[in-house]
Amino acid sequence: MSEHTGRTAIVTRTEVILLILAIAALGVLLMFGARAHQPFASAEVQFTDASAHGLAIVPASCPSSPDYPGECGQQCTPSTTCVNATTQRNTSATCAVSDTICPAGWSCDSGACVQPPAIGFYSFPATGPNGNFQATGHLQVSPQLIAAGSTTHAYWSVSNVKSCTVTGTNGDSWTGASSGASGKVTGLVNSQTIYTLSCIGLDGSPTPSLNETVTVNIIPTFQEQ
Amino acid sequence: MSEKIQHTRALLFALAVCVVVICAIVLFPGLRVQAQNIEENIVFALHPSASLAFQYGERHFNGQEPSEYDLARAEYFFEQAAARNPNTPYLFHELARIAFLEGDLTRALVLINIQIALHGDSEPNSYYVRGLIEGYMSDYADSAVDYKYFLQFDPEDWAAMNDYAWVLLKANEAQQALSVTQHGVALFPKNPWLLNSYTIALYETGDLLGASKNAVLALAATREVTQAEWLHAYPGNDPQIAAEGVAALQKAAEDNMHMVGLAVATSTVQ
Repeated sequence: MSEHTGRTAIVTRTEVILLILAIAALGVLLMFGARAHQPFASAEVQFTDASAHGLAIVPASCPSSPDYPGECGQQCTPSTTCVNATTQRNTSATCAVSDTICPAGWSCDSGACVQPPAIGFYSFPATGPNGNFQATGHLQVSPQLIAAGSTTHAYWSVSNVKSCTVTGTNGDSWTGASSGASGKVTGLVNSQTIYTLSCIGLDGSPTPSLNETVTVNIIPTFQEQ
Repeated sequence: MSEKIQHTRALLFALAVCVVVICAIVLFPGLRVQAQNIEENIVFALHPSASLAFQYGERHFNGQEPSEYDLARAEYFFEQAAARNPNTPYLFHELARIAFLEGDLTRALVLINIQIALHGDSEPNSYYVRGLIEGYMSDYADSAVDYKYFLQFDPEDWAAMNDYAWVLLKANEAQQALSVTQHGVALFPKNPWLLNSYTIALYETGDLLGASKNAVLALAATREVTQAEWLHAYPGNDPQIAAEGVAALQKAAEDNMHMVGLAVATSTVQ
């Protein structure tokens, strides 16, 4: 038993020493790495030279590279294209190419970075307890004036959103971008109730979120005294 | 049972060391470059060949890849290639460029002459490099001959036209520089280097109003130059000086516009 404990202790010490050696080796490598990453700041040509009357001439050196066969003479029409769904490529008049990643949520289409559309509303033919009507897409409750203890219907239809929820102060709650043509039947409404539509727009959208409210009122009742 | 525990512990320890090494390589670019250099050294030691050495040299002599740009390492591999096969295409061309970058113009000229003696017209870019070296040695006449010769192979090379104009302007051959840059600007109407040289040629030949008009176009064009475009125009330059280079190009066009404007104003008053 004691022999086993002794062996374990020796192995643990060895491991610790090995780990320290590994970290030290890594440190040395890191130092060499940092040293290696200090390229000699070089210029193939001076930036400017003076002409006979003192104006600044700027030589270039493009054809010096054997990797650019003919490219320095190539005449490019400046253009922008899409490399993939989110990266735009610009080609300059001297045929230099540079890639730009579109802002978060934007997409690249026909060479341009396109912002996602703003939150929108779809009008739709709705059916309700009081007959058919054309819903606007905005949050609507019909009928909006009801007797205490009865129910009503909520309608909405929103586009270009990540998610939407509709909540009522009476505890009602629904999710989704649309209520459907027949709307959502509310729970019992016993007192004035406020319904709120909350939506989150697409990433990068000009309308990151949206809130709309509709108030349902109770028909007052009168009692003769 | 205890042996099983020992094996598991050894395995976990090896795994931990691997994770530490991988994290360090991912987190530190210097280390990543160093790791790649070690890999290159091992591969080259196992398979030493001129073509592999040249390939590694080219990798470290590319201004478009800032993390890999390393002149000393590029020179080392080009020399290794020269020791194995001096006939490797463009090998002495690249060694000449490096000597030129290091400011050793005499050595650069010797190397580019070896390149031209070995490959001649089959690698015409070397005439351009010799023109560049001679230009910086103030041997404008020979430089102009080399640029003109190179332009026969690549008549629509904007940089060669620009640099041909540079040595002509230095040699007081403004009329000839005007004809070269005029042709260049007709082909590349928005090229900032050519527009700038054309401005100077117009100025030096006495067309102050033309120079003034063109200086505005040159300045506008230089303001559009990106660092990527600048590095494209100077493939051997250290990518770290790209911002400084773009600023120098813009300042040259600005200074020229002011100088030309002043000359126009003075001539009008007189």
